[in-house]
Parts: sequence; C-alpha cells; structure tokens
Amino acid sequence: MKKLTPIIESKRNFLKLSTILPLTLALKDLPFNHVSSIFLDDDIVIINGWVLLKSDFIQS
Amino acid sequence: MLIDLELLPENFNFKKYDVCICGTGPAGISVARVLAAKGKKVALLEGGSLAYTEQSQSLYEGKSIGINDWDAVENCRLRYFGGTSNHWSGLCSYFDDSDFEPRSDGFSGWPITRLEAYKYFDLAKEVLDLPKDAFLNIPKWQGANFKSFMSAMSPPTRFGVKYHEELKSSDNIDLFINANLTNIHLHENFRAVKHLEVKSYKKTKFLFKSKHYVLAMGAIENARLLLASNKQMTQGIGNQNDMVGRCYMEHFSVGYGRFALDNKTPWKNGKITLNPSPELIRKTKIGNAVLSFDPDFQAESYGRTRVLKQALRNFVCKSQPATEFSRKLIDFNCVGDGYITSMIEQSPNLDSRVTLDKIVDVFGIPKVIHNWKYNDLDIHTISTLGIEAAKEMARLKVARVQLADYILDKDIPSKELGHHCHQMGTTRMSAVPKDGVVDENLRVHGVKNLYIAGSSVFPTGGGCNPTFTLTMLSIRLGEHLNTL
Repeated sequence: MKKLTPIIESKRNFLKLSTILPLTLALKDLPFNHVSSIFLDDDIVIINGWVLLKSDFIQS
Repeated sequence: MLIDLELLPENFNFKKYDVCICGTGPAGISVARVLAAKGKKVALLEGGSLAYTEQSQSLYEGKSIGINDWDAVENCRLRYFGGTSNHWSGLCSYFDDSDFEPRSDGFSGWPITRLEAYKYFDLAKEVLDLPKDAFLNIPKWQGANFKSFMSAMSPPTRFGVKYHEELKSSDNIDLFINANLTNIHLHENFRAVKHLEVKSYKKTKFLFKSKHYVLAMGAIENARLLLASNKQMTQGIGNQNDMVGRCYMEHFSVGYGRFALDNKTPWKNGKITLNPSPELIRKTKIGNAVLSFDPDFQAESYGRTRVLKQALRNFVCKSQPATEFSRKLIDFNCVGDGYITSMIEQSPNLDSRVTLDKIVDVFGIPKVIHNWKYNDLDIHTISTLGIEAAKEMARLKVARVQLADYILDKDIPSKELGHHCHQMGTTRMSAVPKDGVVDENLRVHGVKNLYIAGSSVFPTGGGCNPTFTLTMLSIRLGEHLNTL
C-alpha cells in the first residue's frame, strides 16, 4: 500500500478504520478494477461517501 | 384609474373592456402593460388590496396531503397588489434548448421553441430591472458534464411598487382592488367566456365583460378557479381531458452533502453554480437542475458555547498543523469547506396535483387540496446529478465531495425534499388538448377567449428560476392578444 496523498492526510479524517483496513487489504495485491463495487468508472472511488480520484488515494 | 370595488354599488355599469385580467403579479401586470401601450382597454383585477391584509391572504387557505405541509405552500404566495413579487428574491435565469424537448418518460415538451418563447428577452430584462450586461461575463466552467448557471439578479422588482403609478394613471387600464374572481361564466355553447363573476368583501357581486379574459393568479389559483367554475360544465372549464390541476411541479431543494476544496484550486472566493450539460441530461435521461457549491469563508459555530467555539475555530484554522491535528480528533470544518445546495427539476407527474376540497371559503369557492408528489424519475435525477457532479469536481481537482447516504443509496426520504416556492405546471401548455390545458398561444383548449399567464403554463420546469421566463411569456401573450 502506497502513501496516502495530502487530500486524505491533511484535509479530513474521513477514512474510518473500519473502511480503510479492508480496503487496504483488498488493494494490496490486486489491481483497482478488482474491487469494482466501490469504484465508479476507471478513475473514481467512493469511500465513506467521499467521491475521490484513484490518484488521491495511492501514489504510483 | 384605481377603483376600490368595496366602494361601488351593486349593479354598477362597467364599460366593456378589450381584455379582463385577473391577478396583479408579474404575469398579470406584464400582460396589462403591453395591451395598454397598444391602446387596448384593460380591466386589471386584484383580489387583495394595495397592501397585505389577513382578510385577503386567508382566501389562500387549503390543505396539503403531499410532501410539504400546507404552511410551506401557502407562505410562498402573497395575495395583494403586486402578488408574489412582493417577496420575490430577484434571481433570474432561463431555460436551455434541451428543456423544450419531450421528456424521457413520454411527457410532451414545450409546443413552442426556445426562440419563440424568448422573443421578448430584452423587454423582460427591462421589466425586471436587469442590468444591460445581465447573463454576460459569467466565468465558463471547464468540465465535461456541467456548465455555468446563467443567472442575473433583479433588485428585485416589486411590481406593486414599480408599476403602481403607471397603472393608476393609465387611460387604458382600470385597476380594481378587492375584486375577487368567484366564477367564470361561459356562453351557452360553452366555447367562450361570457363574463366573470367578481365579488367585493361585502359580497357585492359584479359582472365583468370583455372580448378576452386572462387568468394570472398563480399555479394553484388558476387551476382552482377553472375547476371551481363548474356550474355549467361539471368537470370545470378547460378540463375535458382531466388535466387541470395535474402535473403540479416544484423545484426540489435537496441537501447533497459537503465538500472540501482542493488545496491547489484557484477557486478561492464565491459560489460556483452549475447546470448539467444538455449532453448529460440526454445521455442519463435526467431532468435539469442547479447545483450550488458555496465554500464557507466564514465558518460559524452554533449552540450555547458558540462564542467560545468560534474563537477556538478561528484560532485553530489559522494554523495548518493545528487544523490537521484537530481534524484527526473530531469532524472539523474550517473556512473553505462547504455544503452543496440544489434546485432540481421535477418531472411532470399526473399524480402530483391540485384538486378541490369539499370545504369552501367565504365566497363559497372550494378550498384546494394540494398533493405534491415525486416519482422514481425524480429520484434518478437527484442521485445521478450528485454522483456526476462529485466526479467532475474530483476530476477537475477543484474539490472532493462527500455525498449524503441517501444520494448514493437512491433512497431519498421525503423529509429531505424541500422546495423553492416555484409552483408550476397545473395548466400546462400543449400542442394537443390531451396533453395539457392551454395551447401554444396560452389559450385554454376549447375556450376561444380564455387565456392563462404565469408559470402554471410551463410544461416542464427546467433548471432555472421561473419569473424571467413567465414574464417573457406574458409579454408575448399581450402581443398576441393585441393582434386579435
């Protein structure tokens, strides 16, 4: 899992532990499109109601 | 000339007018001014007085069995000279081309083109005191699925104030106050209006005769009087296809959630207000809307410890490390965060309607039952717009949006559906009688000299405030009546 970007680290504490843990585990070894239930289109993910860019979440 | 009907004796012999107009809001006064300027003799009837009275306002009493309680419906309207313009906010905007198209659920669109409806664009700007550069110089939104909301502010124009002297001194207009329309009487063949029955508060009855008649009393009263004038035709006037009072529309006001500005955004001040693009509307089969993103540049605190909390907030928000630390502890809003508000088009809905109650007012006219309803298409519109707008904000790196659960779940409780006091659609315009109540010239289908003005004729509500458009349509109606 890569470093969280500033939009998450500094703007808000919206990633609750209950959300981030399973998500982190799910993403660790899988490409993004394998967790399609929380993805909209190829570049958007919804977490805890926040509509985010994939690039907000993980730095390549 | 200003005439108080309370002061006239029964059987007063009125002159015969060219046009008799009921209602002195923006619609009625706009029609009257056009006709008077062309030399037509106009009787302009106001049910209330020159100022607000409980006696007049109480005639709006009714009940609601739909989404809103009745107070929310009644408080939108004002029953005195100048009508609802007396508390109008002044926000003006206009329909898109796509708003004139037939709807995805099969309802008819507008029977006229946008070009035709907006023929009197510049004149309406003058009537509503809009600046010459109104609707110009609005920054262009660079996203794919949304566009800038084109709007302008009227001072706002209070029609009863601005046009009082002009109407009173006009040789061609007789302005009657305390003149309550109680019945529309048809000729024996039921194809034309013979006269209007009008009463003062003393219940003295007067008959007004003219070549043409215009109802301009608002979406609820226009439908009410057509339905209540049922002595000759039991279903009411213009209601042969059971369309009067149906398709009552509002603009939904839905709280979408909140947003946090991207640190790098150039958007440092002001509100961003967007419409969906016509392409998005067509592709996703949604209605139009306005979504407003208003950053909170002066975050407020509430509650008993408001002053202390505000001082702490102001202190903490000045320091980036302190802000980040605070946000890790609590859900903490600082300047730059904001909430998303909306004005959403409601789809035409036969079950959303105004009907008559068995209870009557002091003149014996049945009160209204207001049944405002929404349907699955409305929920689809609301939810789709929220998700698409949030995606666009993220892709442009302007802000990140947190949508309310009910937006994402597409399960919006009715308590979350507010309104904007934009009552529309109860006498909708249609090319053929089965789809509406008035034709493209705003003439009631099947009645050759009865016309309707105001937002009750809107077949769809679009993503804009109605006053500017209804003013243009009313000017157009005045021009049309002048040619007859």
